[in-house]
Amino acid sequence: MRVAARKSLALSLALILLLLLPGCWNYTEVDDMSIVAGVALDKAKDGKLQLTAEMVDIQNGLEQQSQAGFKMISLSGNTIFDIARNMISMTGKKLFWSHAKSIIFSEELAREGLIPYIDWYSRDTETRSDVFIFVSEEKNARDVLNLNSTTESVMSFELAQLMRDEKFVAGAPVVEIWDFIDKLEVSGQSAVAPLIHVHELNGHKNERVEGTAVFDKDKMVGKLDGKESKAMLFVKNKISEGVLEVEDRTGKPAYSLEILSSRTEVRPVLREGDITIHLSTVTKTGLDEVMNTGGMTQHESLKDIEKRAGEKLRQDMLSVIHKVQREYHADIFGFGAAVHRKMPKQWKQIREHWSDIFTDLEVTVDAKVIIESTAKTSRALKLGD
Amino acid sequence: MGKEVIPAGQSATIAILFIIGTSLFMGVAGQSGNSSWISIIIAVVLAVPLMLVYARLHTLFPGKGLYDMLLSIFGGVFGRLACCLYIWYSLHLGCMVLRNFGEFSKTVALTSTPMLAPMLIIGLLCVWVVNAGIEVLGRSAKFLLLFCIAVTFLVQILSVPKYDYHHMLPLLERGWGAVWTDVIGTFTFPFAEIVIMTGAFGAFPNKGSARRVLLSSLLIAGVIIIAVSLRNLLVLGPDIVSSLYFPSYVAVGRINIGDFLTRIEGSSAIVFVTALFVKVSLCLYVASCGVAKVFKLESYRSVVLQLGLIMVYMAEFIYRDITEMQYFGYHIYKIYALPFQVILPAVLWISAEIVAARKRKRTAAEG
Repeated sequence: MRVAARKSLALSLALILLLLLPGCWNYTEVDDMSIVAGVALDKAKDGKLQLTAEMVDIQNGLEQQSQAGFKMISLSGNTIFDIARNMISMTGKKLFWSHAKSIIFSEELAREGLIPYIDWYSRDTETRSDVFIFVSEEKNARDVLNLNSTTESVMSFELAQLMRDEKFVAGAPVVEIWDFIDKLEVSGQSAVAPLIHVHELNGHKNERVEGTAVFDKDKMVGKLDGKESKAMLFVKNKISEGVLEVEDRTGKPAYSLEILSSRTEVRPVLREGDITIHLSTVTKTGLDEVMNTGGMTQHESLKDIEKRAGEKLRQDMLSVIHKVQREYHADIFGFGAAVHRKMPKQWKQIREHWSDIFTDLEVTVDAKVIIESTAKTSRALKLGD
Repeated sequence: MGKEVIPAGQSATIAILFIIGTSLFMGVAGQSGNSSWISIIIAVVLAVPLMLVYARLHTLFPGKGLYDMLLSIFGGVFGRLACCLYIWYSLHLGCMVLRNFGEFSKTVALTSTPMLAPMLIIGLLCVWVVNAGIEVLGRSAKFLLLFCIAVTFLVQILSVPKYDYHHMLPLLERGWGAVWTDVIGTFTFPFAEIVIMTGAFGAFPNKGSARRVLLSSLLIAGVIIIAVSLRNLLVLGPDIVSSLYFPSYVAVGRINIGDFLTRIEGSSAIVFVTALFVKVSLCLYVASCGVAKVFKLESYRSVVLQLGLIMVYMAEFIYRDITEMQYFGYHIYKIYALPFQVILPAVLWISAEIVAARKRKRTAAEG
């Protein structure tokens, strides 16, 4: 009896499992999905939201392996999720978001505030929070994605690749959406996002990521150009590679230093009741380009170049700090967070009006550039007689 | 069928998996933000005397389970009432854990699958293992624990590049008040839930291994939970952790080793399922044992299937939605659980000590 009962239990369990194990409840073949590579968000003319999705065309990809196909689709509506679902009525396939890599906001949206538009992306379970976020300098964010017709590649994936290599350029911050949201939530630190525009020269159109969009809360308040962005990244200790330009004695750009490593420390100091921020940066570099003859040894020693580079870096950092303080009042450097960490008691008193304090905050910068190597050659090129 | 006995090593592994069960994924109470690890340490320390009380109960009643103790101390009527309370508690705890899993799979893993499906499968698996006996559970726990620890350790190492030590500062930002609230929360969930284990004391070897089992498993589980919640804190930061239902899942999702090893959160969810399986099984076992004791059944096995199905269905309707689940878990549960975890065992222990002292006196007088 017992054995029989056990056998029938095992059998029924096996039968039930047979029903459930073969696959997911909502199993979908890959060619029944549209894989979203990236999205651009614009404001439509009627004030609604317009979402442009770039999708990977799978059929096309099967036929010619060398080149990935893509499909563009735009739709406007009131909420993002609504648009995303309504797009099915245009593609006939459910959009699949887990492989999306980039999300581009138009400047107009960014200036109005991004909170309404990023919540869905971090909340929904299909979207992943490691997409790269951009703010478009073009009038419409979709113009950037539309470039794929000229570059003939999936633009969103190209942008993601670009962000992965951005550290060699250091002309714009690299921001994933979770990082952006993190900065919105944490007090004493404002968010930034890289700027993207269509670069046109000699008839070649290309996307270009350069510069920084500065946010106060979730509203974009201003821009930094590429140079300022690099200085900002120095302040934020986000530099790992990149190039430092140094002028020679006459003020002509003559040397390039390749950054090998860089470290910035933020130290808030309490002096007579006032908080001042002390920054110290140590950057290790290698001299990688000398554009004059006889430099390095005859006219200027490495020490001179180091010194000039350090001074230049110091001024760049100070000027970007002053610009952000005076014009944008947004603590993108995280000085407030540093105060919060080091002096929790003082922070409690000042956190409410931190943006006012930040504007008048006294910041001192100490920048040191060390030249560790001179690449392959030990001296500048010489002109023979 | 002879009496079941689980060796000390296996019961310790059951206890460890039982404690880390849901906390691995739900995280622990987080009022104190970046100082929650301090409250976990305090909660572990506070749980030590409780473990000693449980262990002492085992020495006072060797070879007896919780229900036998209740019956022999409080008598037939009140003892049965107390037994019913514990049957309810273990059944309810099993439900809550199942529901956590159901919500987890519905929110992040299988979004279109009705919650009942995964819960039913796990529930039936638990019915199966409990029917097979606690020895089977012990043996599987021993194997599963190795797997769990290996995965947790690996994920821990892989997430080191994502650590941001700034999240630790400033220490004790929200003051000791928040820490103590968290201590109570963490103490009741998950550490003191081990009171369920006393229901399985009947299967423990007679000689005083209970203390060793309980203390060592508390320590190991405590270390694992501290490590996991520190990882969540360092990867996500206190603000984000507090906004997430399943912080571990998101924290593991951030892992990105050279753009190659990414999106491994799904695999780490397996750990959650294994630990939860052990936890639900033990709850089911203890609830069945209780029913068998109260109604003087020959074997607890005759009610396992029924209770298991009740557990699954109750898990389905116990909360309306995930926000309610979280509210109950973090705000109400710590008060609700205290009588089962501390007050009743303490009363039982004190009465048992008095009874034992009387008996000693009597035997001394007679001798």
